Amino acid sequence: MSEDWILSVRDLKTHFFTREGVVRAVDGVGFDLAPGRVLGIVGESGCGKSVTALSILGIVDHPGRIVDGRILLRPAHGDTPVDPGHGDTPVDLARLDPPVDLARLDPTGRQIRSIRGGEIALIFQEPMASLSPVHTIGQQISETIRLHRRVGRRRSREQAVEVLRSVGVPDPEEGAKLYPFQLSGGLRQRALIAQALAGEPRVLIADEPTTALDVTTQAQILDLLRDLQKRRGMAVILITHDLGVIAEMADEVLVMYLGKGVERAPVDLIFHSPEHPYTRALLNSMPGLGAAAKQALPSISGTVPPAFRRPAGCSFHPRCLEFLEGTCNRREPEPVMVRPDQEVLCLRREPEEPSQTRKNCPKTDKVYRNRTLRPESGHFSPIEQESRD
Amino acid sequence: MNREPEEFGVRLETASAWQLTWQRFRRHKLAVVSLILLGFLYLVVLLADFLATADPNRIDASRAYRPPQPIHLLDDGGFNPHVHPVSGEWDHRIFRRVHRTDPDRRLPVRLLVRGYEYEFLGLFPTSLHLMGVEGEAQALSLLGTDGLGRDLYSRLVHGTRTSLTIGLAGVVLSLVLGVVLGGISGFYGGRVDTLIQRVIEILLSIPTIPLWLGLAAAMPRDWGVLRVYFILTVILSLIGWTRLGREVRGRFLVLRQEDYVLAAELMGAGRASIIRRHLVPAITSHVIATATLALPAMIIAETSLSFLGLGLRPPAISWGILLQGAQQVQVLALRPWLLAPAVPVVAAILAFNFVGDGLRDAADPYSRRT
Amino acid sequence: MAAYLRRRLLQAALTIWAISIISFVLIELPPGDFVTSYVDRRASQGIPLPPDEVQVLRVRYGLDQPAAQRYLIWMGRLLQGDLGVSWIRGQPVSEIISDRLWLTMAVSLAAILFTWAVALPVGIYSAIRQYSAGDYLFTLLCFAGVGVPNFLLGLLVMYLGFVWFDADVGGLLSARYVDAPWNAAKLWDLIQHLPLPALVLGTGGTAYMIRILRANLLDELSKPYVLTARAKGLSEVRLLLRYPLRVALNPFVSTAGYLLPYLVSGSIIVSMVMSLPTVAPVLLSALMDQDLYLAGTLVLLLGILTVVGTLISDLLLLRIDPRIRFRGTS
Repeated sequence: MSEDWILSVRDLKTHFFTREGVVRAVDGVGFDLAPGRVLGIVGESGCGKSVTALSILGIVDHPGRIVDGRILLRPAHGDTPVDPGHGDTPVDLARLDPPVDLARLDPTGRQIRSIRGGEIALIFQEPMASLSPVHTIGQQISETIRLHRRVGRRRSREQAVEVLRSVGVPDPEEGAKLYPFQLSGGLRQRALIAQALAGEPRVLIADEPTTALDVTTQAQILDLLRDLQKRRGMAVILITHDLGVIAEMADEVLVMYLGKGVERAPVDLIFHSPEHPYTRALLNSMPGLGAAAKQALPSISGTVPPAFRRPAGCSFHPRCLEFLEGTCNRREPEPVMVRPDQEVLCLRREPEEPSQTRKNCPKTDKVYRNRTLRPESGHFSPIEQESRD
Repeated sequence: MNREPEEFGVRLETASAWQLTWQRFRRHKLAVVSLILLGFLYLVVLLADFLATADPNRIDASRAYRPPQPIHLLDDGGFNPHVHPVSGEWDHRIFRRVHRTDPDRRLPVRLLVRGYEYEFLGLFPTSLHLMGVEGEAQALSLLGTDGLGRDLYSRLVHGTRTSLTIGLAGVVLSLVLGVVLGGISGFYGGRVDTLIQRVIEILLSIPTIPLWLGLAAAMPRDWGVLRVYFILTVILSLIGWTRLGREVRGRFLVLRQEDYVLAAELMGAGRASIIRRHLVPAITSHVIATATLALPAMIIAETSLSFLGLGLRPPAISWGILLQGAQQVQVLALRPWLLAPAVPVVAAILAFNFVGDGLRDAADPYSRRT
Repeated sequence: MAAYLRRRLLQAALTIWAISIISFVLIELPPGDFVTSYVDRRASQGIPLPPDEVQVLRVRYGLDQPAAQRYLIWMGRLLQGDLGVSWIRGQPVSEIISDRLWLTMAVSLAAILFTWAVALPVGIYSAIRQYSAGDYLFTLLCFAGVGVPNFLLGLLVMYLGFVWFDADVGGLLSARYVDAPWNAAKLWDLIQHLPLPALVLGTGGTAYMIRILRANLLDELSKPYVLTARAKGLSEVRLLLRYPLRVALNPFVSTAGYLLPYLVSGSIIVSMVMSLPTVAPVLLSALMDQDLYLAGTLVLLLGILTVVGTLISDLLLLRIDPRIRFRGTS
């Protein structure tokens, strides 16, 4: 991990203030997204993956609200988009303008609206429901184009066809004239992706992009996403509950449980040396080629607890195999760096004497609060715990 | 460690579909209140004669357009409900009858007094009434009187009986038509379905009031009250069944594709048994909800027709007929109490609407109607 | 789409034909005919008609022929644009009803305009400000609108007008314009008189529409495509107007088709209460007198009016909702 992120989410908290009580849907999530990289967010349903995505764009519906944290977006360099040909070469973004905190923007204001779709685009899992039923595909895509580029109606329509072509829609001229209900599931998802790409975003958030599709189409869509990401040099946040998709697509992985990021590491580490018990459990419950055919697939015991009854201490402890009475159900864990680029939120991974290393690092500005990574100093410390311990 | 078993430690109870529906219905406060109100109104229907204080058809010109008469509850510091006697007199200067109250005389109002003779629930003759002035029933006019000196309160009670039963009868008749035709249409589909749907579409696009007017006007003037009542019910339900028919058909179409119906078919169940055992229970609650929502339209139709003089005719008493007396603004301006029948009309319409809404929500927990 | 259109037009024609039969049957239904009721009336006035004159009358009005024949004659004339002559009034039907038919349509149209003008903004407001004080207030008003039948509302308006302003608020034209030829001043007078009947006639439908629009809009607003549209950077206002409102309007437009029959029907009762010079009083008396040409023609015309209205709303729906346009093609 380095400083060349374009999107950095820090200690994000999004809560829903319902009549029955406060639901802490996202309760402390942080990650950096580097240009041209794919970050996979994985977790069971209800763990706050989608709300994280919505929070980034500032479109969390009432009664939800971002209550804390920062969502920093580094502005594009002038008007020049990221060079599509060299997506893999990191652009030196650190020297550019100061980042914008999306969490602080007026959610209905002009600035965030130009970022939505223009800088950060979002695609959802249900392509049918996510497209307007009363407009043609072409209309919806060209609308996005006109929202973010200064082009006329005719030109935007031509560009819409081009975008459709680039996502592999056969006969895009005709396709643009069709309504969503006239398309197959795979084509719909392609159209949805085309609409997201139409604003030429630098970040694409794909929320379960393949869940609603059949297996063959899934593979095609994933190929398409990977291909587009490479060609356009986009950074992608891929939200899924499918570890297979993660293995195939992601460069880095964030594992979420009950609104918290519980483990964050490059994809190889996640699969080969997972540290958090939850990550391990997830991996165990994945069907592997090596497993005996008749062997029952292990599953994680219990279910995600209801939103209002969050367990005390580490919220995973009722289901945890490494549960330690008196610790896990008492204290809340703080992020620990177990390897240079692997962060875990688990009390069992915390070093015995956390205070020793901590003293070495001076307090810095707020942006780095609650983060263990100190890039310039080159070594890593556990969290600066505020009033606890 | 795992606290879940405790959470589910509650003993599981099974509830029938009806119990579940009732539980959901009870959450709809307005609907529950409305249901109580309707219960009260139908109690009035049953006990109309008992509740009436005077013979609703007794004409007495000297008592024409008497204003409502307040009951004084206290007398010399004690509880002694009474009214002051009223006497009407023609005033030649203003060309209208003036009613004067005699504040010195007191007529005691008692519970369970003797009045006019009637048959209690059609079982036995009696003359017992809930309340009144002993020996002089006509002395009491709670809601005033109409132009012929008939007691408005007693007439309202009797009108409630007519208007609420005619609506109910109309709905029952439409229900039979709607369920049978809609069910056939939905279950068999194909050509039968097309035919029935076309008929419904045609009936729905005919303006109802001219049709009603025409049918009502076609009734010979010399027909008796009962016959008119019956024919009017038929007329109302002729139109009313279409919506019910559509609802039933729609439900049937959806249900026919349910897996459990398919399963029953695969197990070799006959059509009749599928309809009886699976489809009918599944649509009953919806049909009841739709029927409840159709009732206000029936009541409005009867009231409107009678109001125009095309529905029920005197000596029948219904809300519409009572409101006929309020047709002239000039008359109404001087005797606003003639508008009193509007209160139960509005109350009944709203109550049926609320109960229907509540039933529909309770029958279909997934509908997000507001 | 063409097939749908063809089917729809055929259905409309079929409906009108059915209405013509129904209106004819209606007039024929009661025992006796126009001449018998005429004879009765003369007799009750003490001037009985001689039998041979009765026979002449029967022949003149074609009453000696079988019913089917009379229906055909009637329809044949209608198709040639001849509405016939009112037996009682001795005037051509077209003359009696032309003005009144226009006024009926004016009242119904005013009621539709009122309904839309009120229901649209209020429905949208109630949906996007769900559970706000305003929403509750409008919901309450809607309940009142649903609960009060329009003739009662008319009665109430007349009563209040009389008590508060000491004026008769009924009617559609000021006295000096009633018999005047149509000109701008008379039209203006009519427009000034329209709001009250429109209010009385439109309230029930408005309440119903608000509830439908609110429910539909709430449904639509919670759908993912709204989120997608927001995610692509649409402003809230454009978002609302371009997407959910269009979808929510569908049932709005489609119920507008049934709104018209409802309004035309309602206008008859409201006309009686508010003494509006629409076709209602004429229809009523014609029905009572079994004046075939007049009553039958009126019922038929009202029927055609509503069928055409429904047709228009269906075509509008076709225009708005592509899902209907392409039904069967996908």
